Amino acid sequence: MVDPAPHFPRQFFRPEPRFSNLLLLSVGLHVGLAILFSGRLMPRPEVERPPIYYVDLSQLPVANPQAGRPDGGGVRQARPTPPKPPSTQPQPEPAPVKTAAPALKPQPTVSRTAPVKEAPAKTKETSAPAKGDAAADQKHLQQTMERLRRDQERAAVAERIAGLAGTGRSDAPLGMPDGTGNQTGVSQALWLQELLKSNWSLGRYQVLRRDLEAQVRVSYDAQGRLIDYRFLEDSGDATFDESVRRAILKSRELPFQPGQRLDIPVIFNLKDLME
Amino acid sequence: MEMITSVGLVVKLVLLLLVYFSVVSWAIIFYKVRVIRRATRDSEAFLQFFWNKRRFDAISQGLKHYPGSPLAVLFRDGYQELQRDQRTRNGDEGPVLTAELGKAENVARALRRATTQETARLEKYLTFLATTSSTAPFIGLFGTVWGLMSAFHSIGKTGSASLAVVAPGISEALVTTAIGLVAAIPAVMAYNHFLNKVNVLIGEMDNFCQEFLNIVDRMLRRP
Repeated sequence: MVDPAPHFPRQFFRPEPRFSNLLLLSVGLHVGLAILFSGRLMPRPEVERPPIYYVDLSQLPVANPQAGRPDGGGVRQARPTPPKPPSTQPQPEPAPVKTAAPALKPQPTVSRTAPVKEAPAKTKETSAPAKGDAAADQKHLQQTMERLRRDQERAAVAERIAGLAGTGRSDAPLGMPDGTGNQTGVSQALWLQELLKSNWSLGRYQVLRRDLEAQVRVSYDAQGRLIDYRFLEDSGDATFDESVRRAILKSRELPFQPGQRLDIPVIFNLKDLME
Repeated sequence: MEMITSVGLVVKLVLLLLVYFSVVSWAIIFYKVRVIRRATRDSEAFLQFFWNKRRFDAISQGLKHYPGSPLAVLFRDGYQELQRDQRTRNGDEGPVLTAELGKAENVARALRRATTQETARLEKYLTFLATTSSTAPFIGLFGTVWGLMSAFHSIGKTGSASLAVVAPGISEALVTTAIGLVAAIPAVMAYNHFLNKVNVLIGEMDNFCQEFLNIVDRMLRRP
């Protein structure tokens, strides 16, 4: 027998790469990719959700609110207890059963003089009018409750209107505690924000981010002239801050005279402004 | 991640199968990259060494420097066959070749055997890549169809066909198709790449066999 490789050293036989090691490498690669795409290492971009606005139509922002309470003093005092909706009212007990039961009691007396076979027929005759009376009572009861509910609602609306008009039981109409004007409404800051927004302008592509927000305290004197403004919190974007500054300077004169000094913090949110 | 965890059992099994295919495919890709790169590099170096030396005994001493070359394996087997014939005849251990006609056929058979072995070694695991590339999309599609069936079944139960009800189920069902494609695309690309490289190496082995046989034939015919 001949040696198959008599003259070749043992190290000639090539060392193959170990497949198990490469398998572990592949598992590591997949686990790494899974971790990467799960958002733990690489945070996913947050989806910008549209802002939600809650508008109180009874307390609209006005330029020069009258003196009063922001919640309309009389309304809260006279707030009626909300009437129970008809659907939640418990259904009255089936009256026909109760009323029909006494009606059936004379049946034995009838059965004494009459043949026994006629008893069922007479029972039907006496129970039918009893059921009809019960239905009429129930309908009457529902109508009464509905009328009471409407009366309560009507009274509540009347008191609300009285509160807004500054009459009635409340002597504090809808307005601001420091209000000097003659407009029914609150939130002078919101009105001012709308005014500044109308004077604000910025190109869509001048800023890269959309989550910019700056807070500025704006001061007007009693004649409605701008006397000072100060950034309480800047946005970090010089272009956006400059646009805010231009909007404030453009609103130097208020369209009315407030009669007192106004110091109002205004929030400039880029998303709101761009709408 | 919630999209994967919230799918049904069948879809989860499909996902596991696809992950298995992908993991093994990538392990094979890493393996073949190393094996074929080494084979190509060592073969080029061995050919240069072979034509520079021109003496079989000198070449055989330098084979250890080309462990990944299939051409070196061919030379080793052919040279062993030559030596075996001589030693069985006169018991001489030296590398001197005797001129005897008709012995080249033994060498040719040895070279053919070595070529077959090396081809099998180079094509090892490539069938798994081919299987992955052809079946993974269909397995993923099966998972999608199954997920859609489940989604439509639940839609029928809820009785609502709004986008909010339909979309999550379809989205979850499509995950398996996506992962099937993620497993199949690298596999088919790697398969084609490695097959091309292996074919080139097989061509080199054939050429080397012819050259080696010519040299042996000339040596054996020499008076």
